[in-house]
Amino acid sequence: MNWNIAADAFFWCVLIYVLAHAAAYLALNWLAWRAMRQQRAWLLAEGRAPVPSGAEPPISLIVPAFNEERIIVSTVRSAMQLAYPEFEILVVNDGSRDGTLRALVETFGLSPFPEAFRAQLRTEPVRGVWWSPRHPALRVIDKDNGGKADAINAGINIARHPLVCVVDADSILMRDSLQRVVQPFLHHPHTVACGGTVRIANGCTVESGFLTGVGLPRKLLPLFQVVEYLRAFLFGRLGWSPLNALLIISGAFGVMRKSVVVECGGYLRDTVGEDMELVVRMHRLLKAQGRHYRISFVPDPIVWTDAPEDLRTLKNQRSRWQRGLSESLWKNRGLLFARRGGAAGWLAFPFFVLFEWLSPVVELAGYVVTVLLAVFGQVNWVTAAWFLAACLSFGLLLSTVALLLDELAYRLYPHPGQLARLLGAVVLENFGYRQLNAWFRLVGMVKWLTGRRAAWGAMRRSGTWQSS
Amino acid sequence: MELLSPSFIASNAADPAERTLLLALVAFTLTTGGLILLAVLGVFCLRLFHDAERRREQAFRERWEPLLFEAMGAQVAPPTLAPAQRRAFLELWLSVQSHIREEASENLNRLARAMGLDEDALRLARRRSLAARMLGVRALARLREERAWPDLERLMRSGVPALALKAAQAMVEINPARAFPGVTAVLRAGREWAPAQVVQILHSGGEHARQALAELLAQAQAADGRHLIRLLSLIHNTVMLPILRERAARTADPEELAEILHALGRLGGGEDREIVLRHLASEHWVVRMKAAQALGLMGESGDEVRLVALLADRSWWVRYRAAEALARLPGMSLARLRALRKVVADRYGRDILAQVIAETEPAA
Repeated sequence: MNWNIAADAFFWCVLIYVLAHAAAYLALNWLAWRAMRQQRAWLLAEGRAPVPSGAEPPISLIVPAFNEERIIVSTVRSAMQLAYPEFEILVVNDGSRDGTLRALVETFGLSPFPEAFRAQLRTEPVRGVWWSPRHPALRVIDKDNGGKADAINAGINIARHPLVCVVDADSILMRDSLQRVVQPFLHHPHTVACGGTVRIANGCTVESGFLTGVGLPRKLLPLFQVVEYLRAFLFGRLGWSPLNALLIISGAFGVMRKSVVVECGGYLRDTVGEDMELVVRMHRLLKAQGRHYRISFVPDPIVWTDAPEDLRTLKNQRSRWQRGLSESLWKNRGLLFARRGGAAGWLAFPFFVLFEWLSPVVELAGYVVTVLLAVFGQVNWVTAAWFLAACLSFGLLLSTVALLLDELAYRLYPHPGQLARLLGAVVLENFGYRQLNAWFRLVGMVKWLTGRRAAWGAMRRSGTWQSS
Repeated sequence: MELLSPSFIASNAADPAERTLLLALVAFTLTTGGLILLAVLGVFCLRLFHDAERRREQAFRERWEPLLFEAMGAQVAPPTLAPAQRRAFLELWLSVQSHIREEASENLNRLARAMGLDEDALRLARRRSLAARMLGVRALARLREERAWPDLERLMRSGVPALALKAAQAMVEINPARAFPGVTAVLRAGREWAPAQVVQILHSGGEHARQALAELLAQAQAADGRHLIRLLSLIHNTVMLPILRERAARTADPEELAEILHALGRLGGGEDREIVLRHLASEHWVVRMKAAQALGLMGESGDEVRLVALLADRSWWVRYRAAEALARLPGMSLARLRALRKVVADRYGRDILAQVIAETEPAA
């Protein structure tokens, strides 16, 4: 075999892949920028954030909880303070083995409540519903363990309002989170789902369950994730929204039209990427029916979440995400290039397959093969070095553009020291973190391919944001 | 730089194919490197710019806000501003305006006219930038500037919903009688406008808004009618009731009928009870639900039998609203509800009644 030709072909393939990836991401960033400007036009009209008018549809806030004894009471207390005209809070205790239910019952004076609900979605048995007239908007659903998707489905069965908002127990909301995320439903009556920007809470200040001060984490690992969230979760997702091709709404915070979720069969219980899988399924089913619908994204930061601070937790998370991505794409492969697939089927789906799902394989293969070819003398070190430089510069470009767009739009980190640290993270993440991430994702992909059972694993919460 | 020279590349590439590859890699890396440097430079420049702008704004506010507060109560000499400061002053003037009452607002308007800010607002409304146009429109609304009418009409028909809505609102605030014929046509088409802003327009339009809404409703098709009726409920417009009653009699659209029943429940009176009762047995669950809900607001003790019958409805929502309505009937008590639960034959009806009884019981 002519190794030189093979080596050249390999490098060309990877280079073309990287070029295409960069072009697609830059196009997404441009779309995201345009979408942000349009959405901010409403802010310009009023000179302030949207205020409740009474026209907002009521929302059922669903909080799935498993072994959240330590934080569940503060989560519910902060949810009760959300500035929104009408909403209810449904905490679903998914068979916790700790004192999650006891903490809620004792704190809020709950009693068993004869809820007459209609089980439109199949779930593990519900043991009971708890309620108190002192907190009429709060209900706690106690059920047998069935996983996060099962817990959310139980919440949907009992939800009374037309919109459901799924929130992780450890998510830190803003007081106007619901008000912001509901805007697309007001502006576009065909909206069926809307996601919001998730930011990293590590290093921030939290009081009474609400974010009061934005800061950066001290440790490098969560700091890299701040940059990563900017790149992937903010501008990556916002860019798809105007094309109605958003394939994922974060499980940490997302609002959906209950009737459509039920119609689509609710969250799947046999996948770890239940949030993405449902959204992709919505696209697939609604497009197949030829229905007019929108799935939107709100660019303003509306929920903050704890990022893993140790490698083990990060590995579990990234492996799970890749597995969830694989499951979501595979289960809904009918959307790919579907005749009525629209931008979701003809642009977003192939993008996710090529540049999200396949990228850990391409990235790691790029590094490993390059080094091996150079070691065995099949390619000279200069070529290998420039190739690695090309890969690194590509990663750097995406992150610095994300930082630039964030500076244009939000300036969330106002201190010069914070900016310097972020720029440092933008550079450093390319020397180890990205590669490690790719490895974790590859592990998740292999687990999916080999059919190994997935589990959420335990997240070691840092709680580095100060709370009172 | 030697690393980038053609001779270096030629000497490090075994063959033309590898030379091409190496050139491509170098070109890609240098291009992205350049873009990265530009982006980093952009970040720093933006940061410096915004920090300086924030300091300027702060200093500007500290300098001129006291004057504006003083102008609210007494006549003050119009300040002389550099051309570059006039827009910032207009923004500050608007910011102060948004927190004060009508009398003080008039004094500030006088100051603005004396300074020529009305001309500035007109010029801003004619600019291409969205931010400039928004600022101009907001200022013109505050100034009640009728000269801006042609510009506001043009902006109301622009393709930017936020701007169109703001221009419509400005016209209504300036001259509602003159505004509403044009605003009405745009309202009919603007189903994707934020209801909050539309409600604001209608609220500030007074009697003219009611007439406009009546005209729209009289001519509206079902889908538009639903939208308008929903808005009607939000502004508590009882003048529309005759139109709603007439539409209830002729509409074939269950969603629109449901909205009408909802509005009648909130706004109507005893005379609308017959309309509500007529639809308790509708074949559409959403109509039955809204009828039950409306009966809870206007029902009589004699409606108990009708609502108990609905406890056996196949739709959960109809059962729930019927149970809630039962609990609200005049003279209804918890003891009576418990007694009713014992005699309701339908299992689901008993369950929903148990839930509503638990919700109605006072806190322990």
